Amino acid sequence: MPSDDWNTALIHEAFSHRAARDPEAVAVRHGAERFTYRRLESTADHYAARLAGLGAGRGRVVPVLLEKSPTLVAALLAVLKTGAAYAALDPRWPRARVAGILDQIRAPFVIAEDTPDHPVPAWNPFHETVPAVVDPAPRVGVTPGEAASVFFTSGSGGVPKGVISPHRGTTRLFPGDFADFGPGRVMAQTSPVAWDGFSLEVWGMLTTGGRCVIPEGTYFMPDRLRRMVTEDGLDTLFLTTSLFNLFVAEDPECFTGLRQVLTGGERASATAFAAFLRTHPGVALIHCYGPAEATVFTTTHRVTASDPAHPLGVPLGTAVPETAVHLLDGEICVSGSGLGIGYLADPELTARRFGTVTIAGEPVRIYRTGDLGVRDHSGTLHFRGRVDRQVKIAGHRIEPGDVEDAAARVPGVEACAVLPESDDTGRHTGLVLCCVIDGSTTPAAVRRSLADVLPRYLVPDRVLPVAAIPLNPNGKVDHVALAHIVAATGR
Amino acid sequence: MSPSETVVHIITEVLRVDEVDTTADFYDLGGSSLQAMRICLRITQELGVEVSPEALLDCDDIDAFIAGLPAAVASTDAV
Repeated sequence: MPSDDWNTALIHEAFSHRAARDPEAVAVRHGAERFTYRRLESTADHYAARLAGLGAGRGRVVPVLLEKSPTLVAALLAVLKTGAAYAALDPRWPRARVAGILDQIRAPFVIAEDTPDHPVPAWNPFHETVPAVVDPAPRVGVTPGEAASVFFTSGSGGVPKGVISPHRGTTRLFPGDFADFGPGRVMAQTSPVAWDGFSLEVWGMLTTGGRCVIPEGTYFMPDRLRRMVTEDGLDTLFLTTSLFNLFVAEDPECFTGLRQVLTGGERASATAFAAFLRTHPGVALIHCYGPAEATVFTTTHRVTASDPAHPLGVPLGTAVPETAVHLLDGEICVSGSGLGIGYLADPELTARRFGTVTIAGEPVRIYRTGDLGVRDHSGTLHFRGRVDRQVKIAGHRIEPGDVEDAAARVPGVEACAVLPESDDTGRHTGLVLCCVIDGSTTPAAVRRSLADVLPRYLVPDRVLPVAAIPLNPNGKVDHVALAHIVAATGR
Repeated sequence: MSPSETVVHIITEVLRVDEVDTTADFYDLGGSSLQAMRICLRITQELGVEVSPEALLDCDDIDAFIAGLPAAVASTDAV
């Protein structure tokens, strides 16, 4: 077996490289199941032969609809070994959402457990018996710039957008010194399978020789974290901003025993960072920023004691390897090998968000984040808001206009506007729908109607009836006046 | 405060409402999954029992959620 000529810019070959170095190391643990690198490799090789027989290969996208487990990880590796890209879908998503994505992919089959109601045939890895000796999957001619995975982010109207990400997007990150990845490191897998955070946790460990531990249950809670620190020697954790803030506020001691904590995804809370640093001065706290369209992280910052009080907010930091940040009219634009190939089945949106600009006389392909940024005197990036009204709540990108469009169609709603609500640190916590309603409906009925047509994270947390929506002299909604009306209602 | 009153109090506090209709489900009360996690964390800290957010998010109503809590909490309700 070739052990030295793996192309470590490819996710699956970087994994094979580590598997050849230390085959008996545990790669993935979930409950009582422990897969060594050797077992994960041979399982993936066995699956890859089956998938190739079903037509998986270069240029294809294979949807995977499995609960988190070592088998899921083996299936994803197997897809990559055939040269195809995977789209990991969450089995908890509503059936219509999954069907819509399968339709976008035009998938001839889906990797899933047996359920009779998929619109396409399912191939079930749990039916396979992996023999003791498996032929290594043949190496395919896929290159690092080709598609490896499709991440799903909240898109317009709650319909998820698929971002096609290349192998190099993920593998570029791990020579980086922003955090410690490699043999001896043990990381929790807490991100949803369809998010790019999953790539960070799983491939960050498995392409560098570390171990990934998948917690049981849907919701990752501090008691599970403590158990993993004790049982697995867990030392590395990524939490989205919302979860990080929750854990710090409710159970700050739960991080004890960790070596490094990465967090990001929404506007950071200086209060939470300050409280974390007070409780855990010896734990590396890394603030991370980056849209899925530029794969996982664009910038990172090792948080220091003086950062929470920084007048520009906690720094987003400096660029990760093979990545550059350009401020074009104040908007954060990203270039480099982390950039997505585009959106699945949406060339129009791809052309709008990704583009080529001339920087210092050279054409540069960029992704426009829609985030506003500024650099301080040391060159460190800071977040300054959005170019549009997009807000992020509990990790979901939300366009208030999408909620307003849906609310305007509810019978009895004459006019409406949506505002985010914030906690005392300025972080968005929920949505308020202000609306003028006639006598035929009630605020509760409006909310119930919206719950029927919108995904849960887009349903306003409260519906506030108002006499009129305030407008500014240009006839547009006056969001400042509206915010005063909302604030006057207490809560 | 009885354990079940403590649970209702925690829900009231986290949802920032004046009172909680215990015959409504968590979703109708305007609860999010993050708030469910926060509530379960506080229940664990105040009552010493482990509760999963799924139980709160999937319950038919708050009364049923309380009845489904570990016996130490749910049974003292009748006292």
